[in-house]
Amino acid sequence: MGWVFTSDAKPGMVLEQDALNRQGTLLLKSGRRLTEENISMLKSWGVPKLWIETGDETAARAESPSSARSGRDRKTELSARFEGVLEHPAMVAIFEAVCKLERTRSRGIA
Amino acid sequence: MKPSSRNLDRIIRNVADLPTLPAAVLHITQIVNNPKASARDLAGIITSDQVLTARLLRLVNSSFYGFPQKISTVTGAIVLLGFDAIRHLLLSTSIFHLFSSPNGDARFHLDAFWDHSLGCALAAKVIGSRMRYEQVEELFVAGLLHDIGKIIEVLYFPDEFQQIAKGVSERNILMLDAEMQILGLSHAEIGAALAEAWRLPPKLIQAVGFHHHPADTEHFRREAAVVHLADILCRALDLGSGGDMRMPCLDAVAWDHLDIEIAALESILDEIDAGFRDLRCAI
Repeated sequence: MGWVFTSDAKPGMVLEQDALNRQGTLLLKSGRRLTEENISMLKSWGVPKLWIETGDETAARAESPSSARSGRDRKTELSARFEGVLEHPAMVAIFEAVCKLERTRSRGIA
Repeated sequence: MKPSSRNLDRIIRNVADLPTLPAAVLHITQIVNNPKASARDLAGIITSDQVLTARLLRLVNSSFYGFPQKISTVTGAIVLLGFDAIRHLLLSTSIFHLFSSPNGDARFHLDAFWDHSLGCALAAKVIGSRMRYEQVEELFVAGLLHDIGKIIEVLYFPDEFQQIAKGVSERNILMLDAEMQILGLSHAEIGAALAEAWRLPPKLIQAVGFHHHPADTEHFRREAAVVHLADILCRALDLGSGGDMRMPCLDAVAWDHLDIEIAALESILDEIDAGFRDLRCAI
C-alpha cells in the first residue's frame, strides 16, 4: 500500500515495515496488525507515518517522504511544539538554535 | 482520602513487587553516603559481581569516554574515571538494564522512552559541566531517572496508562496533565517514591520529584532545575520520546538557579546532539 499518516491509520491495517522513531528505534515490528491501542501509542510517541501492507484497500495513501518535505514538516512541528511556551527569552533561544540545527541537518541530507 | 494519596499508597504498599536493584548496586549506593569509604572498597564490590565488572569495562572502553588505551581492570577504570563517576555509571547501567529486558508487546514503546531518558541524562551532565557543578555524574543519574515513574505507570497501572496515552494523543496535552486528571498524581511523584524505596540519595529523590516544578522544592532546587532544563532541551532536539508531543514551560525561578547564559544554549544543544549517538552506542 505505502505510507499512511499515523493519524489516518485504522485498526486492522498491517505494518509492512517496522515502525521506528526518529532515532531508528524499533517501536512495532512489521507484520503486526494495528489495534486502536497501538495506533494511539505510536501517535503519542511521535511516529508521523506508517508503511502499510499492499492490498490493504482501507488505507489512505500518504505522500511519500522527501527531504525537503520532511524539513518543512519538521519546522511546522517545531513551531507547533513551542507554541505557548516562548515567553521566556531562554526558550526563544532554544527554539532558534534547534531550527538552525535542523537546517544544518537537512542540508546534510541533501 | 484523596484518590492521589490512595494511589501513591497502593504503589508504596506494592514496593515489595517493585523492580529491585541488584544487591551490589544497593551496596554501592550505601557507600555513597559513607564518607569513609575508599576506592578499594568500591573495587571490591564491583569485582564480586561479574555482570557489573563486564558492564563497567565495556563502558570505559566505549567511544563515549574515548580513552586511547584499552582498560582491562576495574582498578584501572576507577583510577581513570574517579570514584564518583564509577559509582554513578554503575547505578545508571544497572537501572537501564533493569527495565530493558525484552518482555513482549506491552513494552514495545520503551526504547523511545529510554532514548529520552538517556538524552536527558547526557543533557543534565552537559548543563552541569557548563555550570562547573562538581558532581556531574550525579546529574547524569538524575536525568536518567527523571521519568522512571512513567515505567511504573506502564507496569503497575496499565489501564490508567492506556487512558493517559489516549488523552495525550487525542488532546495533545503534556503527559503530566493527563496523569493528574486520570491518576491524580504525576510520574514525578511516583518516581520520587521509587527512588526513596531504593534508598537513593535525597538529591536524586528531589531532582526526580520536582523536575517539572523545581521552584516547589526547598532542597536541591538547583539539581531539579538542571533536570528540568535537560528535559526541555531533549524534547527540543527530539531525542527519544517522553510520551507526549508538548514542550513544558520553562520555570523562570528554575532558570534563575542555573548559571547559564542564554547565549550558551546553542552550543549546549550542539554538544548534546553530537554526544547522544556515542552515548547510545556505549550503553
